[in-house]
Amino acid sequence: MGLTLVYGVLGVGDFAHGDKMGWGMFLAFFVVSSEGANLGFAGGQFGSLSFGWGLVVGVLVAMLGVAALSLVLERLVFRRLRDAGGTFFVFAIASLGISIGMRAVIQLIWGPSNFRYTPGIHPATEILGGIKVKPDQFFIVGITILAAVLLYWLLYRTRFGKAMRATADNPGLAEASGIDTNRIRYGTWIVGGMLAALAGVMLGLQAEVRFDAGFRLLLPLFAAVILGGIGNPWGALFGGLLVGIAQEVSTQWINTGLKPGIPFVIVIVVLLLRPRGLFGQAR
Amino acid sequence: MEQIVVTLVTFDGAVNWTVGFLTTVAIFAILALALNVQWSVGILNFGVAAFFMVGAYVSAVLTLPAPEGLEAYVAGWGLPIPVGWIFAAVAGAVLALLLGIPTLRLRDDFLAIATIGVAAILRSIANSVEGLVNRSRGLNGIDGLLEDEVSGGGYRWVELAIALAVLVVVYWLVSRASASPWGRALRAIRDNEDTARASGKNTVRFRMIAFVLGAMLMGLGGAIYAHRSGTISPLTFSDLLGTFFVWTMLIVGGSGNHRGVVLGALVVGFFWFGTPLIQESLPDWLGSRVFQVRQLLIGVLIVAFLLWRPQGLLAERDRVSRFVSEGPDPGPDDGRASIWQRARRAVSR
Amino acid sequence: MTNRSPLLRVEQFSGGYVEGIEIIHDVELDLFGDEILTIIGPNGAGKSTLLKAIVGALPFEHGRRYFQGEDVSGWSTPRMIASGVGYVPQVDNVFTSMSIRENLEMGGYMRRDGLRERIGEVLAMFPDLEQRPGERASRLSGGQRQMLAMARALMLDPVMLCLDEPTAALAPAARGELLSRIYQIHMTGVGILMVEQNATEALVWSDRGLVMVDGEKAMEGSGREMLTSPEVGRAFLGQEEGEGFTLEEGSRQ
Repeated sequence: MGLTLVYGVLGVGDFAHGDKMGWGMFLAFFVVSSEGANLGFAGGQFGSLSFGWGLVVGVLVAMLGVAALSLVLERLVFRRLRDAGGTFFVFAIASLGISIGMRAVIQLIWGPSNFRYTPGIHPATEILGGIKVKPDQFFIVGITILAAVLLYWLLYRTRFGKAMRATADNPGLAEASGIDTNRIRYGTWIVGGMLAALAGVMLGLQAEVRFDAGFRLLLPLFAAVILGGIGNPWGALFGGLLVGIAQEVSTQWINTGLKPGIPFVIVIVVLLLRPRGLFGQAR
Repeated sequence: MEQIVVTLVTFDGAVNWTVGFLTTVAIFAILALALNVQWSVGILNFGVAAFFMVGAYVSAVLTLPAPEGLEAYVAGWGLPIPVGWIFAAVAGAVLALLLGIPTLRLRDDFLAIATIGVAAILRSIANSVEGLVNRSRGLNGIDGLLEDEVSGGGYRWVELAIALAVLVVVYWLVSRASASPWGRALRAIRDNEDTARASGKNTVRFRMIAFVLGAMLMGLGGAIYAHRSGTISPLTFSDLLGTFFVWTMLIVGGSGNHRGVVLGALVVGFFWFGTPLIQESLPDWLGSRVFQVRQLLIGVLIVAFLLWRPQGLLAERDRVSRFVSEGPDPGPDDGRASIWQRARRAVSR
Repeated sequence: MTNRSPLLRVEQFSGGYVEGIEIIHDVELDLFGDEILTIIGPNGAGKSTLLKAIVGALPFEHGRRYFQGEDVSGWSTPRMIASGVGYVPQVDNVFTSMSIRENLEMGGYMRRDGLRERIGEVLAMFPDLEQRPGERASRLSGGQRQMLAMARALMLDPVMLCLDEPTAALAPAARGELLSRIYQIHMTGVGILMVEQNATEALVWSDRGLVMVDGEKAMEGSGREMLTSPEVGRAFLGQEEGEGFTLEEGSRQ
């Protein structure tokens, strides 16, 4: 959702989005891990969840950190490119360069190993019909729904959010209406960055904390965004759900190693049939 | 790594390293030139690694003997190496057609995403499908061209000669192509797609031709790489080395300019392959992280060039590079600029 | 015709888009608060360019513009709009993915207060829009879209409205309706400066007309003079020799 927002409002396909997730993941890890604990954020656990206050603080730090990082990048790189009249191509390449650099920094600091927020095995409880779900997964679904509702409220109920949509729709007219589009862009990066960080932490909670986990998710992310129609947060949520389900279900029939190919096949099929995404409409 | 450093101390070692380095650079220069063909019509190919990989694998399986023992791969017909090269180019072209047909008509960014995706998929197929290309064990013992005829240490000179010869041919080809009326039409597309479309040129077809041509050359580059290194595995064709590294060469050297691209390949190649040489002489804290630092610097290099020297080391002659805005400076107010640019387009129509 | 100090004055205006090529040469014009001034002329005469330069959407090289007696040369569009100029571009003039109400909210983005009330007032001027304020702009007809674009520009209570070819993409029936709506807006005390291709219809509703040819002001006069002038008729209104415009058709009162 963060990606589709940035994509729609700024016209930048942010290829660094996956690595922003990676950063969010690791910033939270930093807080949760021993270094962080020494700073006074003791672990502890919430009931049957595998984490405690440490991760809550970690999520906040991650969201602030990635949002700040996105702002700095906008100010230092994207705004200057935009002022120089750069095209989509330039933004895409620049964001790829940033993506590479960000991943290298993660490796420099934390090395190439994998981590978990909380070591140990976390048992799954059985719900209906033999489907096993970990308590953490309920938490993740809950947070996702909460984030979606908040985003909806922001975009459709607040003045700033509406101005974001207006800038996405028609930047020239937005400017002519007296909307400070630069401020809107900063705001978009903040929201996009925070969502990326949140998603990164959730991903780390669900799987493991890995330096290239975010980048690996980039293609499924873009697939979800294209499926949902660029700039449409609801579409992205639904697209994400569809891509995720398709990936998991596909392993019933095909080699698990081919799982990463599924989002790609989905993208191609969607592009052939509905170039504007499932919910896109003609203008 | 240590070996390289030791060998460099002697004169022969230095010569050997240089020959090997130049061979590698020549291969990457072929990839960068091929990318430039696509980029010059505004195709954003973020999956160079895919075409590189397809070419390498196709040529390898065609020229290798039948698999033995634990090895498991298709073909293995022991065909002559030049045949492998040809099929590598064909394979690149086929992949480009498969990708281009659904995406080239659509928004520019979809092709970028599709190409980055296809590279990931090809790697995962190569890694996970048994009996196709020997999975992650990779293909080994790929013969070099003329390897049997030339004995011992002299062969690295032959490798260099082969790579340089192909580079020269490719350079000549792309230069001819961009000087031809066809090339001019391509530039018209890049500089102003609306106008080119209005003047009745079939832009989708032109772009497809450029995409396929670039892909063929990338496939060829892959084949040369495979026969030169003798061993390939899915790991060889990472996005970092196979794609972004080539992009960095293009951006540093100067996009839309063939000489610049070759220069960019040399400079970026020296930076990349040269860093291991100084690793030993670096303090420990840096030496052990030299590869990550190198990756970071590649990212920084891309962004820095885009910001401060968008025309690259060698500027495109007589034309404004794609990275630079067209027309007069719209002034600091970018919202105004967008109206202004839209208006200008309206007038030119 | 009481207050004769012009709302807008443009002096020795020259400029254009492309480096080295000047599109507008030395144009002068006055717009009074109680009139509709229509700029007509052939394609590429620089009419839209002039309008964009007036609202600050284009940099211009020479000349000055005054709005309500104040020198506003060099002002940006947002500043012009904040000071009471409404501007409706020819294309892309509504936020297509947003509802009618949201479009108006964006039009009133710079308002500090009274947004809700003003939306009510503006909607009341356009019955078509008032019926379904939640409708997405992309689902509106061409005429309704133009009305929404004007409604959007009216959100900041402008004293002057600049319209770039409002009837260009409309069917003949819708054109008449839109022009009468523009006249109604004008009667609430808004000076109208508009650029038009459909010259005859627009001039019927105009107090004054101005003809631009090759970036220069070729002729200026009252709407009625324009309509009945044989040269204008032949050159721009598509009339045959001797076929004048009758005053009954040309009168609106």
